[in-house]
Amino acid sequence: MASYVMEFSVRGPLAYLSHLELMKVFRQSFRRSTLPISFSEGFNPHMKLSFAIAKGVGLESEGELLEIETDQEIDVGDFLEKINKVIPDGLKVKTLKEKTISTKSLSSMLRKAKYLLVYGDGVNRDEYRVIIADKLDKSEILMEVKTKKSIGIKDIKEYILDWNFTDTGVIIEVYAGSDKNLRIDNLLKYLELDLKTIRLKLIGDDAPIIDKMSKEE
Amino acid sequence: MDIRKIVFDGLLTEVEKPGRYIGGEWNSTKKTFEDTACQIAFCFPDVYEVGMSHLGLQILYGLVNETTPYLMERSFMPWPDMYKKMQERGIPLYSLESFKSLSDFPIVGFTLQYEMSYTNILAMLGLANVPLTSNERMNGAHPLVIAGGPCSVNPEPISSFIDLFLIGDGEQALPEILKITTNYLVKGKIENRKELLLKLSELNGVYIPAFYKEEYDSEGKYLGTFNIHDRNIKVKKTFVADLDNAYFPTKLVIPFVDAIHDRMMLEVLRGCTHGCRFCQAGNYYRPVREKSVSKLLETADKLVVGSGYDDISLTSLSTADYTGVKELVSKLLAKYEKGKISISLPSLRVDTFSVELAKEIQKVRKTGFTFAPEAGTQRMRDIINKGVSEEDLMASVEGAFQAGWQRLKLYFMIGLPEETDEDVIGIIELGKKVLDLGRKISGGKNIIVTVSVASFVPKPFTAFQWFGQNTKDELIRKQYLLKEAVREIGKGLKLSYHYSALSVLEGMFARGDRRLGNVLQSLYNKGAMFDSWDDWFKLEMWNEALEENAISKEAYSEHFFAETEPMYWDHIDIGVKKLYLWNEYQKSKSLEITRDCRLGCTACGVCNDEIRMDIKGEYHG
Ligand code: SF4
Repeated sequence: MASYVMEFSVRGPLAYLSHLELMKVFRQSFRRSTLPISFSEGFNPHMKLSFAIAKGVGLESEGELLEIETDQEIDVGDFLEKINKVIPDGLKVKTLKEKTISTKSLSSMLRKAKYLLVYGDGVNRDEYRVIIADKLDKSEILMEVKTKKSIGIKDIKEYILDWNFTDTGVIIEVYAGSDKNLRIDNLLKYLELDLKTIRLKLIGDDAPIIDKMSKEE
Repeated sequence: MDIRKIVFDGLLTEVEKPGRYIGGEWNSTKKTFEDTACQIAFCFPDVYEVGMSHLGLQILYGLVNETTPYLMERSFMPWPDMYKKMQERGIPLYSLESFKSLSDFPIVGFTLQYEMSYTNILAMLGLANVPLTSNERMNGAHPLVIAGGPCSVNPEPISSFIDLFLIGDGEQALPEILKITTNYLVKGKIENRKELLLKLSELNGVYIPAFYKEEYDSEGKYLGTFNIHDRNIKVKKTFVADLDNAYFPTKLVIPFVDAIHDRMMLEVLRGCTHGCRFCQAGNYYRPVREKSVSKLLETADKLVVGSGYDDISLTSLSTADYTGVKELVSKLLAKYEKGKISISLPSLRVDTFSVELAKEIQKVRKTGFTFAPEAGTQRMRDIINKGVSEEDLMASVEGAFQAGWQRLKLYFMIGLPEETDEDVIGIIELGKKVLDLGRKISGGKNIIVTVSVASFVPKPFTAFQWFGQNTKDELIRKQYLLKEAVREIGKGLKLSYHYSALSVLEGMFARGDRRLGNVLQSLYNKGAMFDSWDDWFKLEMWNEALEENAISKEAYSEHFFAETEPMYWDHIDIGVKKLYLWNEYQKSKSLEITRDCRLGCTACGVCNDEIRMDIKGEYHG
């Protein structure tokens, strides 16, 4: 028995799959790959897979995390080759790390997420830069947020940890996880600009979670 | 128009289950328009989850894409939320592979699985800007709109909208149709459509409505539908004679969105020999052709490796009939137990053999068990030639309860010929006996018996095709009888039945004629869609459409055909002879049973030099 965490990307149309659909794709892909993924015990055995966090429908990502358990130790290169051969186009497993810190679940390690907001085609970038800087620099950013029962007002300013412009857009780091969480689509609603979002990394206290999987590292 | 761009630029975040509309599933074809000579869009006139459950789609998709130089793509009816948005934004209905409008395909093919999906066919053509009727398509470079599937045995109600029907096993004729059509394409568009249709009409199983005309006498009485070139040409169903060696898909397209039947489907046989007098599929798919155990094991292996599914369903009209079923099941179990792959049998007979089989495959998980006695009394079961006795049922049920099942579902019908109120009540009485037995065996555990009662719709090419359907009021009265009878029993027995207004409309289409095309056109104008879904079916819309065209649905559904009266589907020949069916109808009235034809041919007329019953082992009837 061994535990691993894999980092994968979701691009293009497959970004529109729901959390459960994505889970199903991996279940079926692992079966096709014949990799030795462990099953739970009981009447209705299922593969032991868990995501760090659900990905919003429509969101592309370069850094989703999935934890898997296997019956025996696996070779990383072999794993990547086998799984990438049998997953649908649009998904790609980028890395696999053995998880030697067994106490913490991925979701409990999650603190922050990094996003890239890419300018839409034909957008005036200079203008956009000014508008975005202006909007993000405000001392408070009030948003209507829908909860199950009602609509509340929330200041999301403190959820935005850092942001930097690049050539093609802006990289933003925000709180993510069970403690404090900013849904990136809420921020986009606030910005009201032609931007496409890509999640880049899921991050723990001080570093990307994927880099903190093994004690030795 | 770059459909892909519009769809992915925002539209999909506004609709339910966007995974229905994105394509890109595992094993979906990578062929393109550019590298193929002719293309067809396989259109399923229902939502994605339903269409992707259809084995016929997977067979034809694999067949065309893997074994021919042509291309097949897929399209499904968008759910109403998506449909509306596409309509508003002028996005044509597109195929899931290349995101091309259906109107860009040389051929667009629909499968006709149930009558109430006809309104979706028109809605799909309309959304793709394909002119609805074959007449309108006659001039100009429009796609050839073709259709096949069980409902095509009576094509007339929808014949104004379809250029070509394919009657019988699609595997046989479809590649031929593609091949011939290729010769009539100029820059991907059909030229000389009339010539093409003439050429295609030479193929077996092909019915081209434009070459047939219905005739009436001076008083407006229907005389028949005749070929305009040679009055007597009938359209003969096509068959796959050697099913064992026929193409079967092993690279299934795996839907992202959960399909209704989301598993490996292994077709073990085609056809059915029981000869139930109400059953259209039993006649349409005759004669029975089995596959060999070795071929099925080989296919299963490829399916498992290629799909990623964890359940193999052994499909057919009656899988327990398969002569190799025991061997197949035990070999599959032995082989795949370790890989945590389960086996399921969707259709079981009412007998202890079937229960034993089910016991073997469901060692741990005891989900529901389903039996179909179809009628509540022995008299009624004799009338419909359902060779099941009460002892059979009780013995089967006993076996199921003893093995630990606690939930049983029993399927019945009301509105059958010669039915009395005793027969109707008999359904509940039988349900009660089953419930009591279950309680006795399980020691009073929580047994639940569900009695599901469908309203009988007489179908063409059955012994009951002459029979007039019960009126809506009569069906409702019988449903009320059932309800009252169930109430007396109380907890443990559950009852479900069908919406009678829908059954009547289904009855109208099933035995309808060409005039119903106008009703469909009116329904399209009103925006009808998803009429097989209770939530979307709008009775007022239907009543208006019927009224506008001065058509009485009851005149069709309740019509009793006389022995010599021509029927609207007489120009179609599915092999089973009309005289045979008539004799079956007469025998039903005198409670005469007809044997299962595996035990000896009963001369229905299907088998001949080219096609015959093909069973691979010894029958355990
Ligand atoms: S011709 Fe005879 S054997 Fe063939 S399907 Fe009909 S009844 Fe059965």
